[in-house]
Amino acid sequence: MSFQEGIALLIVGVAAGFIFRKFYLQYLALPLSNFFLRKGKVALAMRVRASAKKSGCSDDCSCD
Amino acid sequence: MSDIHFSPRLALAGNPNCGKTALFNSLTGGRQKVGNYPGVTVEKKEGIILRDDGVVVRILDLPGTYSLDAKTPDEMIARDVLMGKVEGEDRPDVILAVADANSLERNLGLVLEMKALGYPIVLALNMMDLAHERGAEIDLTVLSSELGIPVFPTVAIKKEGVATLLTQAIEAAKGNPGQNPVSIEWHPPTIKEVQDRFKRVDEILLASVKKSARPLIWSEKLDRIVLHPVWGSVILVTVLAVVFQAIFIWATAPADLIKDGIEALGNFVGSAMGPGPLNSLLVDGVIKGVGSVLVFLPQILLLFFFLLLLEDTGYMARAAFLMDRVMGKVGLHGRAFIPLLSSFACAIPGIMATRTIENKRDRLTTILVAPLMTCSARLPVYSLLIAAFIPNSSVWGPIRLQGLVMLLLYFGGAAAALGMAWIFKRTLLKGAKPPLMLELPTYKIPSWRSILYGLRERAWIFIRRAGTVILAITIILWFVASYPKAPEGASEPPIHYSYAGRVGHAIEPVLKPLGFDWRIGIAFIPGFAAREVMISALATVYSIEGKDDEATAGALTDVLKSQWSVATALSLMVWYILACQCLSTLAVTRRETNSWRWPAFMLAYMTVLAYGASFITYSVARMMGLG
Repeated sequence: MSFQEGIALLIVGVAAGFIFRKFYLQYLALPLSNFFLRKGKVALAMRVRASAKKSGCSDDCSCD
Repeated sequence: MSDIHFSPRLALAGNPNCGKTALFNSLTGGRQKVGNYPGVTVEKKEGIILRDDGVVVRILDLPGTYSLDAKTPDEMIARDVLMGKVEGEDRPDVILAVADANSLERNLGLVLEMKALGYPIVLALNMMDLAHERGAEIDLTVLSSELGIPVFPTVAIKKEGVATLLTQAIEAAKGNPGQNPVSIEWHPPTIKEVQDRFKRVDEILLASVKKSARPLIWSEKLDRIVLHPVWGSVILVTVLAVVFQAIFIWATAPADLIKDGIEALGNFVGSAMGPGPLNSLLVDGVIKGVGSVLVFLPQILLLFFFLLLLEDTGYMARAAFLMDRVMGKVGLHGRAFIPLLSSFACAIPGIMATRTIENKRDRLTTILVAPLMTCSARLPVYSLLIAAFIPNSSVWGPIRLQGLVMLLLYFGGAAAALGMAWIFKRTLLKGAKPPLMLELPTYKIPSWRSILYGLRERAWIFIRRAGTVILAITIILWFVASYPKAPEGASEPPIHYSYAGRVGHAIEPVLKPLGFDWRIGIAFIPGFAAREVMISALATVYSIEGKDDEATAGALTDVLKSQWSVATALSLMVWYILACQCLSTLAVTRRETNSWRWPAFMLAYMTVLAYGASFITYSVARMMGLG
């Protein structure tokens, strides 16, 4: 693997991580929190929910 | 109490259209849009002011409401915040009531209701300049003593009286530190109570208003034309035609500048480093991909400039009134016009704005059809296809064909939305159409500050999207379009052997009847995250392929012109009008309907509709020799 290729793949990794995190916060965190709540794991559910609250779609067409 | 730790919480409350949001902007320098029609403020907005004396003031902009006896979800939010019934929301220390000085008889009822809650209240008598122009004479001292609360004149859009108002509100909070009512007893008013309130308003007005504001004769005369069924419709169509012509003509020069800048950057980066994967990622992926989206920033800003201008002048509410007749014919409630209009910017605020609709079935119908309205994310896609396939010839005088086609695409989306609403209201969501009650605001000279705030906000949103989601997806797309590498002695360009190429080829049979090849198939998938990504994806795919293929190298517009038939372009335009390619829209629908059933239904019906219409378009275009 060349130096250029290594850097390029590193950038791809960071981008993939960013997208995954965004997807998780926006679409997965709340259902996951509800799931934990149903299972009785309240502390875990609250922790997941707190992370989800940092994100979400706002009324300006942006989803953080 | 030390002022450094003193942080009063003010709640701005008042009737819709009394200039509450303009006052909020003046107080906070906030970036919230100023609405001119009722119900624009659906969400709670909060601003923070850090004063020179160290006091941090938190201001809450509550949705407009005519009474605490709330009927719609947004009015309920306003009432519940004041009652302290919203989870995680502290009660305000002071209510900053806002009333339009030109229509006190309507505004004071709510002030009396709020006063009965027991909070300290400061009243801002807004739009005083207009009231003076119209000859109104109000004795503020008498009004203040009759109401039993301090009253201050303001002209929010000119920031007149705003500083004094804020100081007085802070003083009122100081006099009442943490002593806001602990428990609020409130019940829906009886008819007798409402009658008594109106009677009290009459008494107050009799004592304090020496001369009422004259009716605006010119405004009424203008409305006779603007709201006329025939002339009003002609004006509406003309306004829209001018907007879309201007979007194309005025945006050309700045868009070309951005395009040249991006090309120069690509050439510089490409020549500064040796060939290799990083060079390809930066040039083919990042610069060409994201740059191809950024080019459309001037058009997006022009679209919002006109939307904000029409809203600020008071024309938008007139357009809503005119459209009520059309909306009524398909069974939609008149209030649905504002959510549908908001969907021209983005379906997300449009769907959220349906909270102003009381009836559940009407609200659901509006939610289901809102994504059919042409959102601003579709604008870059339309612009690209129009620039590539529609000649920029003159149709009639200054009217050019490209602008006309853009207008038709917007009309197409609106017609599809109304058509589907007609079907839903006669099948799934049957119900009678209630009458529209719409308050027409007075015509106003637009507030340029407010428009600039709005444009700055839109520019930031667009650039942020391009620099985050679109950039990240483009990088990932570059990877899946470049790996795995082509085998030794491969005859096709490397992208054919990549993950993206394989997926594109796998779904090609499904898309072939619509005239779409595997490259468009690749671009569809990331397009779900943001519609504009379709462009960056196409730019990246063609750029990577173009390394080994002259036919797919060069500017995206030229590439599409040489690679696609007109039938394919038309089919893709129709697809983009009708398809629900937006994950965020589905997520917000889930949130608003509290069920996965409706977003699933939305995705299904829109996909079937888009597929069928694109297939018909492609087939007819081919029969006409355009394929």
